[in-house]
Amino acid sequence: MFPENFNQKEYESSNLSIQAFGKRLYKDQTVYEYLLEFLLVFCSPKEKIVNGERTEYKGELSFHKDSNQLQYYANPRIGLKRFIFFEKSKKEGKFPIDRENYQDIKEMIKESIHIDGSGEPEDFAAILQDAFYGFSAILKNRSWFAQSLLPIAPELIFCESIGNKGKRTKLALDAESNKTEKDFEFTQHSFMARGGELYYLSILLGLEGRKELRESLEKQLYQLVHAVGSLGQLGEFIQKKWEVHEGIQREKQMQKYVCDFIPKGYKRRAEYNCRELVNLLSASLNELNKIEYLGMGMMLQIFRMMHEQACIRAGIEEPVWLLDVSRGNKNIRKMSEQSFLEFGEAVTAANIVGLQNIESIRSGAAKYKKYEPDETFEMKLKEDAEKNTFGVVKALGKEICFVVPKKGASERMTLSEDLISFLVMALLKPNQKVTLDTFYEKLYEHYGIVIGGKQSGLYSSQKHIGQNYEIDFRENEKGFLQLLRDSGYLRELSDATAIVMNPYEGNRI
Amino acid sequence: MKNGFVSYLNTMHNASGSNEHAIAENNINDKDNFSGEILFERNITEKIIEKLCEGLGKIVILTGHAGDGKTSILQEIVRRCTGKEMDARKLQDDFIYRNNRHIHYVKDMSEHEKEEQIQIFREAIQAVKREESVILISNTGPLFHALQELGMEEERIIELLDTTRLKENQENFREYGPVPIVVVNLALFDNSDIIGKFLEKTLQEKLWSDCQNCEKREYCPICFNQENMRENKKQIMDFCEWYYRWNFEHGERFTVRQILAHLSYAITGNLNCKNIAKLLGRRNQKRILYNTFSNLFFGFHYEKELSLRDVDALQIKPIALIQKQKLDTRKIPAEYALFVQNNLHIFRPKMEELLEACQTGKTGMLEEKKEYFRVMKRAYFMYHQKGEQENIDIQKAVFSEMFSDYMQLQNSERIRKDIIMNIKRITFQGLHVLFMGTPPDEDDKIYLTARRRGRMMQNVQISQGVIYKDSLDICIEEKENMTNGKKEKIIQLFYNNVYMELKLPVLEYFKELESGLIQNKIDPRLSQGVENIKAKLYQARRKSREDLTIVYSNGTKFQKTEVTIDENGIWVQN
Repeated sequence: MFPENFNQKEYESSNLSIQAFGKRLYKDQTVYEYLLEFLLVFCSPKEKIVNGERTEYKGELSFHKDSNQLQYYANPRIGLKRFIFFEKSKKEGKFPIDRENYQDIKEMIKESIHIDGSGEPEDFAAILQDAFYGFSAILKNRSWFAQSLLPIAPELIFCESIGNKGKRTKLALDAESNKTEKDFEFTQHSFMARGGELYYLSILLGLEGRKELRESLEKQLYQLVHAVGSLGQLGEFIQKKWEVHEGIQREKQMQKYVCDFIPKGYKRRAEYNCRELVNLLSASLNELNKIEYLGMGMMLQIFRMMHEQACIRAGIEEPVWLLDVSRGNKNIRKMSEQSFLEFGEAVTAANIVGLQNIESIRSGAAKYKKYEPDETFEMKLKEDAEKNTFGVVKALGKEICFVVPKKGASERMTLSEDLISFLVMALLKPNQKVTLDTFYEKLYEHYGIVIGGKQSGLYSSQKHIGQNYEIDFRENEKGFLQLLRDSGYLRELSDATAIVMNPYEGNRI
Repeated sequence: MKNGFVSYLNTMHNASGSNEHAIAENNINDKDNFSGEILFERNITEKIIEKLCEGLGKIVILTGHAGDGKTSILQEIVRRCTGKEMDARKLQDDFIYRNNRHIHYVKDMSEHEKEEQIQIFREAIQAVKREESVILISNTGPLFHALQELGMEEERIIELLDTTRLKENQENFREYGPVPIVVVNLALFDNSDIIGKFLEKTLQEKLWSDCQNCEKREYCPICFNQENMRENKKQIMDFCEWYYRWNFEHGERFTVRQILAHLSYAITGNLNCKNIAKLLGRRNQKRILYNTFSNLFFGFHYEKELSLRDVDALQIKPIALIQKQKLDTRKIPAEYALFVQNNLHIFRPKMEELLEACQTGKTGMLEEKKEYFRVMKRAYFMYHQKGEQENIDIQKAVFSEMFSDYMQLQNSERIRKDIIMNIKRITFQGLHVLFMGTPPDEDDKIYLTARRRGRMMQNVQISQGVIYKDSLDICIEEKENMTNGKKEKIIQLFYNNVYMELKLPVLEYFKELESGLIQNKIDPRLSQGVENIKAKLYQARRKSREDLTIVYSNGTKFQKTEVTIDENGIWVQN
């Protein structure tokens, strides 16, 4: 496990999916929340220094230096969140105390606005709200406290906060703000369910002993999370002002989180994750577009890590992914379905290994204590693990258009234009050009992806396929070439030589 | 009477099977009398000869698509340097030319075994060491293999292959040290220069002299075609060149072989003297009209009294594309004159008479009528005699508004200020829509807003810098076009010491944005070029992270607000 000082006892008592894939993957976390949580860890201070009455925080916008001390601290910034989302959110969750506080913060902002020229502070306060709201990431008909913005500034990346109806309705309207702002669930991990932490740990693993890579990635991520830095400063002003206004002690609001552990089976992919991120982030592409590509790319990287780890844990041969980009070839579709099925089987097999610790699991979690260590309990554990592992692959795979169809049987893996864009920008440096064969090799090396070419031969021999599917693979290649061409990444230098190129220039950092 | 030249032209396209010239290098063999008659020289040949003779010895690699004319160019080089035809049986040979330069040539590397290919390269390097030059003809596959075997990195080989500059590179080979190499990759060149040359040669009267004495002359669509083409030669050449040039600028490039197949099909319609001999003893005007060059160029021919799509002609790649593009369905300004006023004087008498004789077609079914109008339109593209202004209208209507400006810029001796101003205006307006989601208001400035993909309009936006219209410039860089010898004009946007190339598709996209034809989903091939321009503008004008400028629309106009934050509050300056 990584880090080395992981808690063995905690590991053994964890549920099957955590034992197999680290802490943790969870069915309800959305694609953007993986990204936001990852960037939250990166942006947050990682060290708390108490000096008499003064408390200082350090380590923002960098990776942990010591992988055995993986805590990070986040200010939930409830005041700011309320200012941005409260008005436009659904009715549920608009508790009286929050309505009261919302009116207060709005009033406070109105009073803080000094206009040189025409206009009313109230109108301008609404303009500020719209300016923030235009960058919303996850609204999903959620209550205001569960919504989030795109990671365009470190001050605008929120940790999880969940308002408990019972508790919040009981709060008196004149309750002290130190209490009203803290009376949320910050560590329930329902949305920020630790998938981003898991990914963060894989990056940390990939950066071990690679100082230059670490520095390069830190610089690029810094640039990414300052896409609209000035709005972050405004956010920070609003929150700070609110804290002063209400006498809120920031120190009391700060939440401590600790990243847990991941399996070492992620190691092979971990370095690739880092290098791919550096490539993607160094393209001279609008940061908002990069955020989108990064979100879906992260998922693809996590899926691949999972599959490789599953095979290591279950003692299965290194997996390949046969992708169907053939636009209708039946044999390719069947093989891709089989490939996806094998992915699922490997994940299940890896989950089952943890049953050896069944007694520890039962005693470790309150919700399992009612069960006897029998078949019913095993079944329950397997079902839970399945939901939070391969269930995640299926649901989020469909969201990023890696798994098709959205509904119905014959699920298989494919590539969309956005995923192809991610792969080109991640596998090739800005302006880099490689032959199509080299690109196939990279896809195979990094993701075990088989589309055609030499790799189809490797696939056939691995799967002991007697039948000759050469024509089918050629159709798959043809579809892939068309996809690359349509997306603007393919150039034919002659009829014998096609090159794949990353058309973006490098950014100047 | 049989004209052998018609049969020869039919062997150049693949609209029917077994057309040997269209599928192999045979068109340069001395099999018949006509290959010599239609030989034309290519500008690039002289450039290659210069490279072979200048300085010390070097290797010139001539590569490209099958059908790009590599072998023809080598043949031309040999002919020019030695005054003799290349011996088709020899795979390699040598001769001495200018500056007493010893020049070796290898006809086709791919005809040699893999090991031999590497040996050929080694021998070429040794020849260069003796201050001799070598020209190697090779497909890129064997070339890649040989260069990799000699220790060259893949990315370096791609770099060599992916340029049109004919630049001499000193390549370091493991055992041999630096060797000067020039790569000419014909696959990257626009071949539209051959259209005029080929048609000039093809329309020589002597090649059609047999037709003069043919008893079927009056009924023969091919005979009519060559005469009519000779009368309208310039307009035909112009339209064909526009078509090929416009496609080239949009990434659709055709090989020499494909272009020649298209043109020769458009002359004969895959008819031959034998078919024509069977025609009844009366002149069928529709057969002639529907088989004219203009109709055939679009892949339509005469069939059962109608102008119908020739399915066999779809094997010719440019025809398959032109049918997909449906350029002949675009509305042109001359439609009123053509279809309502029935003004046929805009054609030369021969064509006017033919069109008049075919007027009965207009009384048919709706579809038939529509197709007849298209026949007239195609004829109009290629045979009208209304002059240059009309051609500008055709370019605008059939291809794009910007294509017309683009071509005028390419063809004019001096840089026309009105065109530059127009490009600047359209670029400014396009960028305004891209960054702010709306056309410009009366303020000539663009706020560089942080915008999300696929969202065209946001009422309140954050600006990360401002660009004033006056600070944008359009510059023209002249670059020699190796294939037609003309000065190519590269259009560039200049801002804050940064140059950004504005290719035709990007200009067309800006024009669409300016016209309000906003596309939610931009062609990804285009978006990359646009993204690179946006990124450069951002970098050239990005503000510090402390400055906050909010831009919001008050319905009619964008309002800019500078926001400063300090411990006392939010200071807003409208």
